[in-house]
Amino acid sequence: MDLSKMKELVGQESSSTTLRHNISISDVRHWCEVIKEDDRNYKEFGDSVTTAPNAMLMAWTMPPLWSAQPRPPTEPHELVIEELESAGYKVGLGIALEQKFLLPVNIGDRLSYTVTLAGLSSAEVETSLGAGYRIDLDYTFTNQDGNVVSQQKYTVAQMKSIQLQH
Amino acid sequence: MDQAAQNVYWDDVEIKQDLPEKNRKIDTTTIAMGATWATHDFMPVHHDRDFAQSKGAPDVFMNILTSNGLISTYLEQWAGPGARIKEISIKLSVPNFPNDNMAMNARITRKWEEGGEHLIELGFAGDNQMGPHAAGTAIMSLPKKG
Amino acid sequence: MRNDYGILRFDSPKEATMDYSKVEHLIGVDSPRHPPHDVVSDTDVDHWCQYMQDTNPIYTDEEYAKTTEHKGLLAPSAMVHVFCLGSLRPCLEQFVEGKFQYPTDPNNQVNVIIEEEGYTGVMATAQTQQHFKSIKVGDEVFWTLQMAKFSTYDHLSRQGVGRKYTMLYQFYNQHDELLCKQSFDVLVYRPPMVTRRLYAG
Repeated sequence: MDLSKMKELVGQESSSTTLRHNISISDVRHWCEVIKEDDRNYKEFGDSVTTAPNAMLMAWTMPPLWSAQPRPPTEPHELVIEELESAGYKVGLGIALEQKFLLPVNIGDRLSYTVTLAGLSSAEVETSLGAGYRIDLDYTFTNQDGNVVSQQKYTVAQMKSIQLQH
Repeated sequence: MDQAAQNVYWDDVEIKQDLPEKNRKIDTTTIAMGATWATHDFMPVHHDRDFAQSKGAPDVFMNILTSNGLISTYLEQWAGPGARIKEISIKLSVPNFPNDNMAMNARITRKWEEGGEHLIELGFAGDNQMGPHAAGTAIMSLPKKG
Repeated sequence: MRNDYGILRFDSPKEATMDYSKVEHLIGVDSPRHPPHDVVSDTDVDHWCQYMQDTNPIYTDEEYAKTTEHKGLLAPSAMVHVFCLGSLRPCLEQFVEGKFQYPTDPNNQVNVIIEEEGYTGVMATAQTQQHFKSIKVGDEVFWTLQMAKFSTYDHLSRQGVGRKYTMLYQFYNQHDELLCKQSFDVLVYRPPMVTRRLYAG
């Protein structure tokens, strides 16, 4: 693992990824059915819901379950995580998330996001669940008009294993 | 992408022709995601091991909508975007449990024209390590050349 | 009457079997037509296709789909049942607590009776679908359901002593066009005492 090479990526921003779909009532309904125990069918739901819960933004950045043409890691944060994983730091544990919501996410919006690798610890840091590398990621979400919808700071500890302390 | 090139044409298929085998690994994720995410079937025997065991099953097992989906997709993926499944009949025997593999096979058993459509019938099987999971027949319409 | 392993002895009294007349009046009666829980959406179709590893562009590539006779995205026909299934909590209530979303539907009344009769194991054994029309993204899938057949006697199955039943579904789109007829065979069984003791704790 070449830490100095990884450090050179700190401060770099990824290219912009546009989400696969417009913000859809069915994605929002499925989220609300689990998180909020909202049992309304799509019609009742769609009649009253015009914006998506802000907390869903991160859900839309998740990679697909399967893709016919899997995309190799190319972005700065992906390269760093791949490097750590191949060095045995296989468990990524989200340890902090700071979210700023600047504009509502409307049903039908087409969002894009970028990720900046804002920080990488120079050595293993201790967490309550074990030692690992700390990665700071800055997410910026924009809508189809180019306006910033949300900014988020996400901190991940990339660890060899999670140790529960008894 | 040339979509037409991916189609299997009715003119080119023969009775007794075998489709290439396709394998799908079955683990807990396959079973739980198939039930909840792909087919909206929230019956806990398909995603909650403790619940499944309380109902007398050794582990979570695949729901039939997922089995049907996997087999239908196997047939449609072979035939290409111009094909349609008209009828499918699927019977389940050994459940798909985690840490298994399902091998899907099919053979063309009939070929005919009806009501302006170009049809084939296939017999199919999805076998796991314990034996036959799913078996049945399907009728598909295929595009014709020209 | 049971030995130390919980196994019924051969001379044990037979467990009383269910009387068919309890369900007879509910067989062959259609449910009212129910509305869908989800509209056919591009995102749900995308989930299905990712899971099934289906690359057919008619389901996921909108630009391609517009150039076809369908003039837009389709849903895989095998998905027809998916849009009718309810949301998480009512489903858990049904399977865990026996509270039905449509308690007066004949098939649900049958389900309450067979659960009371001790047939707690449920397993789908067969499914047939006849497709009459393509499902388009944006469609609404309405459905009716009837319990068409129910065994009048107990079968001895690999899972235990049980009954078999067949449900018939009919799916319609918002224009009242028949999309699909589906039959669905289910085995309900009394899990043998050994299995119940092993897993029920």
